[in-house]
Amino acid sequence: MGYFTGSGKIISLMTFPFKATISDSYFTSYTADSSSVKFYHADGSDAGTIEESGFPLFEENRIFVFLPGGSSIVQCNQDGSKNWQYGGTVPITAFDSSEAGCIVGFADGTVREISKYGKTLQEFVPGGSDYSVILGAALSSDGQTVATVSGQGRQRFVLAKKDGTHTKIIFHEFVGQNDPHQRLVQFSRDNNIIWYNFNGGLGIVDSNGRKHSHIPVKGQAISLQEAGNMVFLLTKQNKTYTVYAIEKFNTLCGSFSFDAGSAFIRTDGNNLFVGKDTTISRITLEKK
Amino acid sequence: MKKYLLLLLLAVSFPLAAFDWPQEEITSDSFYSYFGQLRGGTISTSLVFADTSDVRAAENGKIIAVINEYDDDSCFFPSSLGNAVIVANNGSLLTVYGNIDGETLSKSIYSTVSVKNGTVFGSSGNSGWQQGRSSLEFQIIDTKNNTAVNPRVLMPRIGEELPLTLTGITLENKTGTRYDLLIQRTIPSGLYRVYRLRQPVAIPYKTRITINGIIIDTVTYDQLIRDGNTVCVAGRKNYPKEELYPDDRLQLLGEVILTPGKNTLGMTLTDILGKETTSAYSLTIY
Repeated sequence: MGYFTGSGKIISLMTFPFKATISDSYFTSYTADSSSVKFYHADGSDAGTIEESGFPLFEENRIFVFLPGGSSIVQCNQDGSKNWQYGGTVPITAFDSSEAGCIVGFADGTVREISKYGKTLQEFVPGGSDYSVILGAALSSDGQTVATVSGQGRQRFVLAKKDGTHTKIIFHEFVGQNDPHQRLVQFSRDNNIIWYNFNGGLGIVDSNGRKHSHIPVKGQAISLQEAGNMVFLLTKQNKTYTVYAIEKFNTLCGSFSFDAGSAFIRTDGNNLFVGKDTTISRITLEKK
Repeated sequence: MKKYLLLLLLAVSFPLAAFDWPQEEITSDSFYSYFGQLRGGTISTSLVFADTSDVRAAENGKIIAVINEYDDDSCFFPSSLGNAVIVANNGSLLTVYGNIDGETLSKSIYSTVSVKNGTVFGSSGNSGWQQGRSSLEFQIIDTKNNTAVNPRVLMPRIGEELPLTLTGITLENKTGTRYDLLIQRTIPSGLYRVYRLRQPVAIPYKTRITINGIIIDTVTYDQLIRDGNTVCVAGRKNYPKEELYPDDRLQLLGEVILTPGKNTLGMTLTDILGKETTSAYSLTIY
């Protein structure tokens, strides 16, 4: 793991024995029995210590720890100290965070939105399936809208908005029957578009639920990056990765595939960076 | 009649179900970590086995989710269960099979809807949070009552239980003052929490506190409940981790109000087979 510049200069490169988490703000590596983890700013300077057992996750400047047992979570302050803790009995199956807080999906089909101060803002069950389970979840940056992929036996996508003390479903569709994969669900930076992966496809819907579309994709979507009017989706099927280029709203411009042990995509301005095992490639985007 | 009453009570507490072994059979005293133990700063909802083994469905059901560990820089969160298979069983129960090795995770589970008792998911590995053991982390969740059920209640049991000990009995009052009953048995009246020295592995199925032979508090480890944002064990009230395990050394046995006069404080630990370990202290309360 490490950081690189847009021109391809590697600023830092670190190996790790077990697992690692990295964002634009922080990075750290940790062990299988992690209980105290020092973490660092992107420039390598000390940021603090997380004194919680479990697996840490950095999302931008937000710090979470998934506690042993798989059902509980802690959000930490910027120095690693505990901000709040949610302790549950049902395994967490989906997670996302934004500036407003975080959304947690559970194996019993419950979705819980928690504010950045630890207060539960809403809890609901999208339902509509034979077996409720949340396989993917996303939270808009203002915390007002939640999107989920859930259920087995009539699996479905749900877009829901907070309406006072209630949660109002503003769009939903059935997207398949049975598929146990965890699913990518993601809001655009401006919250106007929501992307969601299901077996064999990428769903696209606008935030009002008035316009929606599907694009066929192979494998499981693992990352989605925006670059202006373009969206890049990385999927994985066995050892084959595919990058899809989509022009907003729903125009598939092209795709390319490669085999690798691991891969990532990143965007910066008009550049798409594709990481493949030990190499990083830059593709500059130009509209002609 | 008493037996029938006990069976009826168990039936009321849990949906009627019996699970097979989720891996190779082991004796009752050889698990690595038991349900309800202090594990990684939390009250454990898991039964953690001791040895690497094939992981298999403990009961017929439907696979509803497969949690993966992701080597790639992905949008997914790092579950402390590592690679895990979640199965919906009859009624409202889920069985959770965590810490499965990614290389052995059967590809067929992604396209399998129904699984039979004994279906192999893979081998236990080191994908989840664990303390040096590449072994299965097993859970049973009751989604109707929103509780984690002690898997040992529904699983076969072989052999003896680990011996339980009542040592280091300590009373703690509301202000945090502690009284070690080995050296002090004249103490002020008030509400106290009664602690024993926690055993690193063995854990009772039930703890009971009596005053002059009358049951005051019973803490049970048949299930863990969620109370607000906190996992608790149930006694005369719900006890969160901070009260159950105030530090690495102590484990709560129950709460008691001591009133002035002579009092006999009794403590009983019961294992899952019903075997009891008891102790009593004669206290002078002022």
